[in-house]
Amino acid sequence: MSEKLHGYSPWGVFTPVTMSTRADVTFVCGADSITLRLPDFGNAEEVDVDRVINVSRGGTPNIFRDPQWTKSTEITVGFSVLTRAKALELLDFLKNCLGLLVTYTDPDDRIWEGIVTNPESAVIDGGGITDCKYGATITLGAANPV
Amino acid sequence: MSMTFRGPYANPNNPAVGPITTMLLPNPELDNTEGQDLSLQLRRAIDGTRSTYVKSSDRKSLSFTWNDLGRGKLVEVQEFFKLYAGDHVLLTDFRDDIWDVIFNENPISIQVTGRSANFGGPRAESGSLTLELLGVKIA
Repeated sequence: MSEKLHGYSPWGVFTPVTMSTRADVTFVCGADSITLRLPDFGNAEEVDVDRVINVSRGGTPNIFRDPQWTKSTEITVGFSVLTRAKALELLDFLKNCLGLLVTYTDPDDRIWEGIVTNPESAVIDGGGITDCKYGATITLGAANPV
Repeated sequence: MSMTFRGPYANPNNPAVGPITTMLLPNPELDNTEGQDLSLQLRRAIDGTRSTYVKSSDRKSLSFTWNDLGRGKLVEVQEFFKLYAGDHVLLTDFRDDIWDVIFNENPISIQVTGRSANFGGPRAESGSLTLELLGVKIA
């Protein structure tokens, strides 16, 4: 498998993206912050670009987009093996940051700003004999790279 | 063999101008689809006569899925989509057929699914992606 086909190899006017590695992720909102272990696999990113498609009477799609219109990403990350203390810390964080802009540093060391759109999400006690048995999912909506 | 996306593509209906950006993707998974953009209305008169009203076009809807793209390539696809979600794109597919397409799906979603030997990104991780396109074969 070649790097050109499977790796980051932009040709043209791509916005440069810098990535490195981190051992944890952080969510910061004002004076509040929380650091969590790396998310589980299955983390998803959904890129949404505002545009207009009008279909003509003959069925031809006419597409238009103003460069000033918004582009945003919805990031969904799931965590497991959290301690009860960390799970409660996360619930406090979600309450304190309700509706506020949150800065998220992801596993690739990219920094995003967005709003947590699932503050009602519960932490899940998965059972087990250790304390590290809690899971949680955070969705960061309307996020843009900083 | 690979898939090449070049944007923006200027055609008589979309005189987009700008620098050409190219994105290369490997061959998609099997089960890619190619459907037609046709519609039909069937009417029956009181004496049983059948009439059909049709809309026909050369446009086709295309769907491609990739399951083992490196993390870096997934980011590249996102950036390409951000640039050209509002433009026509020239696609050369794995059969070397050339298409004038638009992204039919908005938003697009990626999922990082596991560790991989693939290239791309600081971590050896890969993920999946599906692109839904609508376009006309031009060569």
